[in-house]
Amino acid sequence: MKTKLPSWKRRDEVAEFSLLQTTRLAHVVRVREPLVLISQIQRSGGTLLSQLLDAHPEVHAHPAELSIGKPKKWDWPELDLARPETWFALLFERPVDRYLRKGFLKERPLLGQLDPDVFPFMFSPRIQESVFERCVAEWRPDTERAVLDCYFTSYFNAWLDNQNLYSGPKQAVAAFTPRLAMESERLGRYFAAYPDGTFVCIVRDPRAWYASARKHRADYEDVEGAMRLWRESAESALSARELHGDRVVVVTYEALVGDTEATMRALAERIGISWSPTLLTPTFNGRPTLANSTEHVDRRGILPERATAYRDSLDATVVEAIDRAAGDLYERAGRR
Amino acid sequence: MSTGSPEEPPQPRWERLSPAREAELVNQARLNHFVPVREPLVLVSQIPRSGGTLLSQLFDGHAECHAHPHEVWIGHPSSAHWPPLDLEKRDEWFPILYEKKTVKYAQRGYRKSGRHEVGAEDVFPFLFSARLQKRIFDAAVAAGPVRTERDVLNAYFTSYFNAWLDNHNLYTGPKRVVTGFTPRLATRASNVASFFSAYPDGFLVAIVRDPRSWFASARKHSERYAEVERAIRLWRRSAEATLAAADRYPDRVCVVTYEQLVDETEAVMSGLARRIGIVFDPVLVTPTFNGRPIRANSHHQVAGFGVLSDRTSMYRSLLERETIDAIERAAGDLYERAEAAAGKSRPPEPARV
Repeated sequence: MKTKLPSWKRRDEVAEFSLLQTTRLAHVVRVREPLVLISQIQRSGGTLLSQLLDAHPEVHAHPAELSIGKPKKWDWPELDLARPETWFALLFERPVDRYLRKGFLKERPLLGQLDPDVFPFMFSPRIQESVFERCVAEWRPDTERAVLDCYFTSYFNAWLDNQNLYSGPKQAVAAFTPRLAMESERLGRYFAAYPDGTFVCIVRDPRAWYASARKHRADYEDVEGAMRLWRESAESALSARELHGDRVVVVTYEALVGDTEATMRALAERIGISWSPTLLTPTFNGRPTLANSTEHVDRRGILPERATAYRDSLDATVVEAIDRAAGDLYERAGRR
Repeated sequence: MSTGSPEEPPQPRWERLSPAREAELVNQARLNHFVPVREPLVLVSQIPRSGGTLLSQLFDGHAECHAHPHEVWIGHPSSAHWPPLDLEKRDEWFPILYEKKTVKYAQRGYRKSGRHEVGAEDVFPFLFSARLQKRIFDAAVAAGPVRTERDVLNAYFTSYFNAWLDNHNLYTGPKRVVTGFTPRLATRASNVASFFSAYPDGFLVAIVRDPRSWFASARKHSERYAEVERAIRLWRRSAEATLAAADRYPDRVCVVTYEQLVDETEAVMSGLARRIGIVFDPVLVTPTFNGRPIRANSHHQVAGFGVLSDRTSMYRSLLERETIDAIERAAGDLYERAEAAAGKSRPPEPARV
């Protein structure tokens, strides 16, 4: 006699997965809001700022560094509007595969704490591709922005345990990618796609930045070379502010960690989202995170002491050299 | 063969995994990080058409609640019976508790069945994996120890909330309670006793609805409530069971009238929040399903979202005068007692500093 299978076993894994895909496709949440792009040189607080926006119900917050740029993540993607078959391959963010397998973790060697946070990241590249194809078929995108809308729709809907997909109404997509804005041409292309977007650039006190950056990568160990890069980032931020006016917000890391509420309130107003206490706590998919610091981290949340920690770790001569090389520029960045 | 040159991009990742492998990776991501659900259960229960769905949807978006999104169907042999769990028979636990309707919701989306007209905005996606639920249940049991009925129920609710893949309220917290609604269960004293035996730290929230407005709604819901006398007998049984439970477990039973709930939603939800130990949050005044506003589960026209206070007096235009009189004679006294009990249930406002 044939035994009836219990109802939880009637579909095999593949059939269950196919049902998930069908359900998600039947209820796609459209993601067409303007992109709030956070970008500057690494070790300036971009991860922190993106994590402060993470749980805001009016924001589709990209949870990791945005990697749509090719060949480097800080390049703006070169979309050929005449070749739709190339779009998804060009934009697809390869790190999702790693996050799916291992969970999300900010680069392990950077973390000072012994027990880093590893967050689950349930993401289906296959569902992403099918959502993208559906959007392209239905929306028939004929501009770069429309293709990017298809892409972000596919990304946020393929992220299955995204805790912030259904809340809203959404006002913005927020994402962080380092260095993109260090070339005005790349930034110009971002604004061409997102004339309604807001570019947010964080400038960190060069002394504190150097103390952190030199531990991040060997490239930054030489003070003179590091300051050249820091200046390049800060100057591009100030130029962007002059060129694009209200669409550019320059924030200092020190203001962000020293007076988080005032800074985030001002930023929320600029990007058109309402105030929410969630803007004070860095989270990943709604869960509080440990700072991505090169120093020991013993608690979650904002670490204001990082703003002055360089005083203990840098020689006075190095501090003086940095002041001479970049102090003027930091002052300009801090002026509203 | 790929050369890795810039002209020839590497084979895309999304094509490297077979569907089975990708499904397994998604499942593993949850299995490796499942959120234990061990909080006390706040069980909403009374006769159907009294506002249980509404109340459960008011808890839905609260960050401190694991809010069960539809009626809890863990009862056995029917949802109106507390599940009999034999701690010696491990293989029976999951089959007894498993809620078969999740499959239907996963296939068709969640929607309340009562409404006549269903628009696209009334059907909610429900991403749920039954196989994954069983695996999480097994993992939670294996993580043990399982010595009590409560341990089994904790493993079950852990499996349920983690197998619900698009649950928007899984990671927030810290959680204080699990909330769930199941009609009729609390109309039997034995069920109530079994519930408090498993959840001595739990709460029973029972809603009593004005029998006139209840009858106007219930008679359209089920044949069983079509005839006044029989329907009011069932209503009385539910209300009497509620009052008896409130007498027996005064610290653990909260009586709420439907009329207070819809007319003074904030005050009632604020009082309930204090009783069950969660902070008051404005999300408690808007019914939602998985964080999205949901329309009322009414048999009558529902134009918008949110709590509908006009439902409390609608019976006046729906019932004949004689029917209203008959209901008042048959049940008016009991409703007054329920109103008094509801007043006692609500804790005083905290003193303002």
